[in-house]
This record gives sequence, C-alpha cells and structure tokens, in this order.
Amino acid sequence: MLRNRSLLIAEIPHLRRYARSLARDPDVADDLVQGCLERALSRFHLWQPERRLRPWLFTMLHNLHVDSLRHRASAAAGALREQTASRPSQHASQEHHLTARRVLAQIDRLPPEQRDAVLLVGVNELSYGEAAAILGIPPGTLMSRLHRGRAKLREHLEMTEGTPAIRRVK
Amino acid sequence: MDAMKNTRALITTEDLHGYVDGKLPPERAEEVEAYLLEHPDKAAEVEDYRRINRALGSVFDTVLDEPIPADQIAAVRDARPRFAVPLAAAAGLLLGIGLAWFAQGFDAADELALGQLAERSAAAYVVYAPDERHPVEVAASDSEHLSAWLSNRMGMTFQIPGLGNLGFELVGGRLMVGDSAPAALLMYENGQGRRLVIYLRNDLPEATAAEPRYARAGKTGVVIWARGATGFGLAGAFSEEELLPVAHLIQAQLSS
Repeated sequence: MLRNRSLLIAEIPHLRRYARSLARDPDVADDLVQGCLERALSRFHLWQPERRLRPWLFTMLHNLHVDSLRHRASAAAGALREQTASRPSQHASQEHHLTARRVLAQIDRLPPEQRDAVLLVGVNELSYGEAAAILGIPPGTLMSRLHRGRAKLREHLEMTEGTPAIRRVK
Repeated sequence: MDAMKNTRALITTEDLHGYVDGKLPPERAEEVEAYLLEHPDKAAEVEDYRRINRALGSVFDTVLDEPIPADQIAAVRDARPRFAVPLAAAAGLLLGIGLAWFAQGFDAADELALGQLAERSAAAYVVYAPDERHPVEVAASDSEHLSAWLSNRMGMTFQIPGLGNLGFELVGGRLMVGDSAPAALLMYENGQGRRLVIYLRNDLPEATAAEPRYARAGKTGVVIWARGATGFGLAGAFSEEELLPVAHLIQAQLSS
C-alpha cells in the first residue's frame, strides 16, 4: 500500500498536466485530478502492476472529464472554454502566447473526438497504443482522428497559406 | 536504389505523425527524413504539426514543475483502505488475537487464503521467535542444506533471501504445516536481537495474486503477498514502514 501510494503521488504532475489541457481552468483541472485520485484509490485492487499506471489513471481522468462535460450545460461550457482559452500561461514566453492561444482556440473548435486525440497525443508522452486505450478506441481510429484533427488545425490556423502570424515562432 | 525508392514510397500519413510525435524507431525516422527531403510539401506539413505540439508544450508543460497541491497529496496519503469486517473477525480466531485486516476487495476465495496466510505467519512468529534454544531446526551455518531440504519438501525451488542490506541476518529455518504441502519458516535477526520470520508456502489456489499488504495482530506486524501458488508472510514486532521494505527486497530477489 505504501509503495502504491508513492507511485500514485509520482503520477500527480502528469495527471495535472493532462487535466489542465482538458479543462483549462486550473481549479476545474485540479478538481478533476482530485476525483481521479479518489477513484484510483478505491479501485487500486483492479490495477495490474505489470501494466503502466499512467494510462490506467488517464483513462479514469478522461472519463471523469467526459462525465463533467455531460453534466454541464453546453452554453456554460462554451463560455468557460472561451474565457479560459484566452488565459495565458504564466511561464511561456510572450512570443509563444500568441501562437498557443490561437492553437488552443482552434483546438476547441474541433469535434470532441479529434480534440481528444490531438490533446492526448500532443501534451503527454504516451505510446499511440496507450493513447488509443485511454480513449477506448482502436489504434487505427486514433490515428485517423489525430490526422483529421491536425490537418483541420493546420487549415484553420492558415498554416497552409504560410501566414506569418503563426509561421515563424522559433 | 530501387529498394530505397520502394521504402520511401511506403511512407504513410501515420509515419509522418509518428515522426512528429517521436514514436518511430530510429531506422524508420531516418527513412521519413529522407522522404521529407524530397517532399517539401510534406516537410512543411510535418513542421506545422510540430509547431502545434510545441505550442501545446509551451502552455501545459509548465504544470509538471508546479508544486503538487497539498490536498492532492493528502488524498493519497490519508485514504483509508476499505475495512472488511467479516474477515477481520475471522482472522481473530487464531491465537485469540485481533488481526485487523485491510482488504482491498480481492476475490473472496483469494481473500480467505490470504487471511489464513497472515494468521499462520503471525502465529509462527509468536510461537518460534521468542524461543532461545530451539528457534529453528536447521541453523544458518548449514544454509545450503536448509535451502535444498525446504525446496525438496515444498516441491519448489527457492533461494533463501538475503536481508543483510536491511540489517537482518539469517538465523535458520524449519518445516511448517501447510494445507496440501509442507510450508517453510525462515527466521532472521537484526543487530538488536529483534527477529522476524518469513512463512512461505506453495499450496495456495493457483491464481492467487496479491501485492504486499500490511496487517497487525497485537504487537505482531504482518505483510503478506502471493504470486500464483506461492504465498509469503512476513511477521515480526515491526511497523508497516519497517516491514514493507523487507517485503520489497524479498520480492526483488525472488523475481530475478
């Protein structure tokens, strides 16, 4: 139990990062993490130690996020997303803000299943197999959602046109 | 050259994303790089995808370095495992000791086997550890014979764990009662003369599996775990914090 607890605590930063990408609002994200930890602790006996802990936790976190979205009025969710999407990261450089804000705003316009794929793969170091398992879809489906999502982002961000605003960010 | 061309022709959209996300084996990544050199449009696409990932990283990677909120750590640290009342009562029958059992919802059959494992480990400690003159049948000085003898009788091969790293030296061992096969008891002692025992049996239901768990019987602490038919019980007048590292050391030695 003690070792399990330290393993779990070691995963918290990664859970928080994923939650932040899903919820944007830091408080909402931390509530998600808290709920995920509680669920994990009550189900620890279901975790098979030979499997990686992180995907198991991410699956619960994602499910909790989906549940909370479902319970929230869509109008309220939209407003929240708009408000939080524009909140810049405190540490990123000024130059990155513009790009990141635009990218996030466009990600939020994607169909949810494409948004899930682009965020899960883009934010976290997971294998494609793990990412697919977390979303409960076959790997081939993950890849096609990832591709459609990224291609659409590229289009919406007018990257294909070579627009300077996002073109040169280095 | 033709072979090269063929390989390049096989670069797929999935390869491009795999390249962007760093998921390709090095050889495949090299092939993608060669392909991109010849396909500027694809190279631009890949660079745009990377830029998207970098933008995400610039926003969210900083979260990894933030201090973990205290209430999240507390949620993990302070959570009490569910308390299984019927098993706690059953476990108290032996030796009249109250064995507080923190069950985590294992299969009921396994749970009974594990509960019995914990009882017998605690009982073995209580009976044999205080014995000054005959704590063991075969002393550590004859450890090769001890390991061969116990392996033979139990129908399994096992190495006697070395616990010197944690300050425990082997005292010796003895044969014990199991259900369908004999069990073994190994006794160790530390520099302060405090003893602990490993109760080892090889006749559990085949599919039993459990990670180390702690329970207490009076002054005796017990950690049990199981892997297939083999069950381990570690018992002594020690705390959870003292016993768990011993359990993990034994696990590490017996799995390698």
